[in-house]
This record gives sequence, C-alpha cells and structure tokens, in this order.
Amino acid sequence: MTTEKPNAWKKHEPHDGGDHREAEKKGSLAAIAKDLYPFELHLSSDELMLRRFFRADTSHIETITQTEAYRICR
Amino acid sequence: MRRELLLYLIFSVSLLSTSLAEADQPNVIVILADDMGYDSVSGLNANMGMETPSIDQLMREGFSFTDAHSTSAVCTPTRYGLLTGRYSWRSRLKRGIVGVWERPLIEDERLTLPEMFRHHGYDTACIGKWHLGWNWPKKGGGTTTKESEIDFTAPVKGGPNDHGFDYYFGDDVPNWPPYIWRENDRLLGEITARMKSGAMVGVSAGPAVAKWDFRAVLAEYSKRCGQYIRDRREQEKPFFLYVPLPSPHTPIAPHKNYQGKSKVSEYADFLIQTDAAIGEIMLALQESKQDENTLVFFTCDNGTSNKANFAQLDAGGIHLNENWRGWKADAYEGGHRVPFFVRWPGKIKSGSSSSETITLADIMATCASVLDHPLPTNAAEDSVSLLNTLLGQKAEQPLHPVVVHHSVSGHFAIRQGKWKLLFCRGSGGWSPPREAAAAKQNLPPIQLFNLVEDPKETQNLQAQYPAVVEELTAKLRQVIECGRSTPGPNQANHAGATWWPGLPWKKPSQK
Repeated sequence: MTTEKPNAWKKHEPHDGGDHREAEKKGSLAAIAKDLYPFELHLSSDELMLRRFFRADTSHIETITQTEAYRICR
Repeated sequence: MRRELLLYLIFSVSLLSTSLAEADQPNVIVILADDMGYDSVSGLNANMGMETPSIDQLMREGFSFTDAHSTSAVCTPTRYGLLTGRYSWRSRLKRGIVGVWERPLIEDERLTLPEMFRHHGYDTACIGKWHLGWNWPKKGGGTTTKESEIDFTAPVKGGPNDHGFDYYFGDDVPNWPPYIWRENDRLLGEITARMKSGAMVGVSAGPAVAKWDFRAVLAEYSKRCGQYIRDRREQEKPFFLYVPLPSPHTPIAPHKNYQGKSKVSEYADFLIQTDAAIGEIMLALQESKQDENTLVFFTCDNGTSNKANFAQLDAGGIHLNENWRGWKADAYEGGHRVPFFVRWPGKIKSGSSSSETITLADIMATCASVLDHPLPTNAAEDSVSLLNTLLGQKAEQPLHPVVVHHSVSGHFAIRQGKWKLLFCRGSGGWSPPREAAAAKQNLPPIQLFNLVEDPKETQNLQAQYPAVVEELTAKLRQVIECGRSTPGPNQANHAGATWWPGLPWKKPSQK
C-alpha cells in the first residue's frame, strides 16, 4: 500500500435534483418554504429546529426568527 | 480566606483538566453503506472491474479489518448491533427486519453509542437511513402501527432523538413510505400524494410528498453531511456523526449526473455515486481542517444484494460476487462479510490491517475505549474494543473467542478461527439453495466449513469432524444462554429467550 495516489476526495457535480433544488434556484426563501417545507405545519415546534434547518440548507441565510419564517410562509 | 483560595484553586484545576480531556477527544464519524459487501470495494477486490477511489483512499490511509462481519445479514438488526454493541437476535427481533410503521426496536433503557458520546459532551447527529422503527402518532392521541390511523403532522417519537442523537435528518427507509424528508421528530412537508408500488425497483406503495425524487436522496445526504461537518468547525464541542447511507440499496436511483457513468448499469452508476458521496464527506473534513482529529469508521450493514443483478454486472466486466459464497441475507460469507476501515491520522498507521475476526458491534466498545468510558454490565454485551489492535498492538488471544452470524430467516452460524458452523441446510437466506430447496435435496441440517482451505464454503465437513461440530454447538448455546459473548455477568435476552426454532437443542419444555 502506498499513500502517494492523488486525493480522491473531491466535490462532484453540483447537486440539482429534486423540487427543493428547483425552488432554491429561484433564489426565494418563500419558494423553498412553500414548495417543500410548509413551516406552518411545524411552527408549534421549537424555533431552534427552524434555525438549524435553514442554516443547514441555505448558506446565504444564517439566522431566521420564527416570526420571520411565519411571515414568509404566509 | 485561605481555605476559599484553596477551594478555588482545586476547582480551577479540575475545570482545566476536564477541558483538556475534552480537547483531546476526537470527533467520530461512522459511515455505514447499505448493501455494499466486501467485493464492492476495489481496494479489496482486485477483480472488481471498476474503481471506488474515495473508499480506497480511506483504506489506504487507515486500518483495514479483512475478516469483519455485520452482526446480521440484513439491514435493521445490523443497525441495532452497531448502535448498541449487542447482537440483535437477543432483542425481540428474531428474524427479518423492522417493518413499515413498526414500533422502535432499541429498548428505551438500553445504552446506545450516541448516548455514550453525549455523556462525554459531544454533539451527536444521525444523517441518513434509520430503519429501527418509530412510535407513529395516532390521530386523536396515542400511537399506532396502522397507516390509516397516523397523524403525519404530529411529532414522531421513538426515533434517533430518543436514542441519543441531538439531531436527525433523513427519510428513514428510502424504499418505504412515507416518502418525505424528516428533521428530528418532524416530517418536513405535507403528505399529498401516494407512491405507487414498484415506482422504482424495491419501492413499496404509500404516502408521499408531491413529486418525491428518489434520485435526489443520496446527493442530499452527502451535502447535509458536508454542511454538518463544516458547521462543527466553529463549535467547541467534539461531534459524533452517524451516516447510514441509503445506497447502493434499492431504490437504485443514481442522480442524473451519475447516470451512464459506468456504461454498464444503473446499479454500477449508483455505486460510483456512493463512493463519490463518501469522498464529499471526507473532503468536508479535510477542507474544514478537522480530519487530523477525527476518527472515521467505514463499513456496511450486510453483503451486496442480488438486486444488483450480478449477471448483468458480470457481463459488463464488473464482478461484485467474486470472493465469497452467497449474498445479502445469507448465513454464507457473502451475506455478512463486509469492508471495515478505520482512519485516525497520527494515531492509526496508514495502510495497516488485521485478519482478526470482528463485528460491527465492536464499534461501541472501541469508542468506549477512546472515550475512556466504562461500559456497564448490561450494555454492549457482544462488543470488543478494537483500539489496541488499531494502535498496532498484537493480541495474544483472538479478540472474540467466537463470533455469531445470523441470516434473514433467523438461522445461526458460529465462527471460531478457521471453522464456521452453520445451522441451516442451505444459505439460510436468499441465495441458492434456499432452505426449502435444500430440504427437498435432503441436504444435512448443519454445515461445517474450513474457511482457510475453503473460503467459498463449498465442502461441508460436518460428517468428518463431529467433535468440532459438538464443540461449536456448545459454544453457540453458551453465547446465547449467557446473554453475552464478552466477559461479565450473564444478561437476559428478550423475554429471557434461550431457544429458537432451528437450533439443535430443544427448548426447556421439550426436554
């Protein structure tokens, strides 16, 4: 065994599958929320879940309050 | 005043030592592929006919166990074994898997791998396929196992969050309903559609979100894992990330960017994407400069499934059923011999390996050793620490006196050194001969193989070595009846069971 092979770990083609990706392409948070994640179903849950979800899913949105999410979804 | 100063100093020193201990604790990632047997890694199968460069790099840069076994030949029970360090046949699940809408398999009181990490101050996350059951909320209250009674808008308990994970993202079982993403105990969307049975190979009918896209699933997981890892760089706490990938299990759904890559079949394309997904996870570790302090396990839940279509692959020059007899679900090696690599730069010598017989349940005790966590006697009863072996120490005795295998239909096999004794007439699973066919052929009810001389399990030696059969039978009985295969006080199996149909001894009432 050698470790002289080039690094095989790399970023591959952009992931663009799924309706949520189509929504994301539109660049609209409202589109993402409404098309795939209807938060009105979940607003009784904790705000942290919303924050974590958005942070994980969209790099351009760092934080979002429950009120903001509620307003967008409406 | 002097006494107060002394107390303050003692308190400060204890805080310092705690933080130093925590600072030394590595991040840990467990990547579990789905239906990707030993022969599906090009670093292990010289005649594979295609490359898995990302996994091969993990192997090159880490430690390889070449005689590693999933604790079952199918999905659910292996996941139970990995997360609890206990053979799943000791639980209520004596054969098969947890079904659609079925209640959780992991007992509430049982210590799990993520609970252990959380105890040591880790952030814990599971991103991927759970397949260990949930408590589905019933409309009007309570829980149910009937689809028609489920309230899909209510929290779903009994899943990863209730067994030690701070965070869960996934779709549970990708070929089963509901077809929807979940985060923690919530479904992320509205059930407005119904998936047709057979929409893709292996897909069952059931509730879904509109336009669920099977081909987006794996890419979503690799992206989410990468994001989780990058986010953790800014955190003070170490993390434990469990990544039970849904591939290359059915639905065989390579993203469109991978379709046609292999020029052989969609399955081979999916395998390429699976390897790439692992590469993306490892890249996130590298780019966030956390890979030097992260212990990574890569393994698989069972052997490659015949849904891969071995004949089609062989015709295209790709050989995934090459070195071992049988496939997923079997008591034969092809059912449960899996790749098992461990990477920990600076701690584990790259390119090292061992032929010790081990199981996926050993991840629990290994992590306990890393954390210096004393395991209670009623936890991880079948788990042995691999840490010393990983660090280059030679053991004078085998790590496991014996290892037990278990097929989809609940047939046992026991392994000790070169000997393997199977308590079934055929594969005990899905490769020929299945048990009914083997009975018609009047094949003997047990099979004994010498894996050193006959790794493909072709020569049944049970008639020639009755003493070996007797000894291994007694050892299997002992392992079952003691409730553990490691040193320690006896533990109870589920409902105290010490007998199953198919075992060569009779249940107490039949004596």
